[in-house]
Amino acid sequence: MAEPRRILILDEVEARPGMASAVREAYRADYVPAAKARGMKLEAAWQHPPAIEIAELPATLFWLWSVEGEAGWWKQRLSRKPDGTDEREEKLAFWQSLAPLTLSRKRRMLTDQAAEH
Amino acid sequence: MFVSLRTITLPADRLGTRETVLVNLRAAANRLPGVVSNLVAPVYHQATINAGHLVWRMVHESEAAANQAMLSPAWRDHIVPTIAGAEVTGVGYRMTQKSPSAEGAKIWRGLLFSCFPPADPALVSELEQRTLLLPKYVPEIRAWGLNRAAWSEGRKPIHFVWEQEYDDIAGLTGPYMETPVHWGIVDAYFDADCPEYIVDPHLVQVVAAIAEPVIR
Repeated sequence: MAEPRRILILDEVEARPGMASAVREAYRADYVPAAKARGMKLEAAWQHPPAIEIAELPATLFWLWSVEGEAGWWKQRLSRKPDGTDEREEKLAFWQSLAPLTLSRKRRMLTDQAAEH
Repeated sequence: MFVSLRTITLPADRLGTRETVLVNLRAAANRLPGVVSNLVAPVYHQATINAGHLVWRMVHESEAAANQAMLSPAWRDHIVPTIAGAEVTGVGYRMTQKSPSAEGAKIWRGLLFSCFPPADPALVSELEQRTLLLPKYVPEIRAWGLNRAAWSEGRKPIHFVWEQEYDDIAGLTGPYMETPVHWGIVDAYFDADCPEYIVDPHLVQVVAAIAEPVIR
């Protein structure tokens, strides 16, 4: 039986000038633990501009997650609270709380590129 | 052609009457004027969401014919008493975007959903266009229809009806859910973690076993 393919989930959040550390802290404190509880594995976190915070400029923050196969993807997507109810409201509430600090955001699902033949 | 689709949820103390309601509703629906075809079936035991106990899908000659059916004496005398006390979720729509199949699929699935009132029309249109990619990349979808509601009744408004037919339930629970077109693209509009999120989480997913094509 084939191994489930690794699916990557990339969050890209553009913080308003001077707000990068607040966005980073909110994501770390409020999103990361919940995402891990849904079976997501944090692979990396990056930023632009690199290595420095420039208060005059927006900053783009990236978080790269992985899940194991389609089953792992749907597990995080259809996650439930301990009482069995849908977690969508909590997810939405988090992103709404972040909105005043940000200019835009994206979430993209990724896989390895197809092998060259 | 115009479709009226209803799901019927029986009160807890009347669950034992499901078969009787089904038989009576089928007979009553056959008395209605202007009905081209009529499906009354138990909701499938698997892969359903907020679907209740019975599904009732009628094809009418036109929207006007559907309205006339609801105003007919047969409706008042036979339909109303049959479904009295039940919760009905209903939607009417023209079958304008569709791809029927005569190949004899065995499972019909309808997803009834609405978009949040302030949803950007461009995103709604994008959702519609991307949903239409699914039949192209999921050959297990034998027939499909994606149509905007003309009217709806029930707890929540319904804006879209996304129907498919499959050879078996595994086509829905397997390839349809596993295609990257679904989880990688289309689902973003349903996913609160994505900025494209515009679909109200109150979905109705109804599945029924069918003996002949429903999507025509």
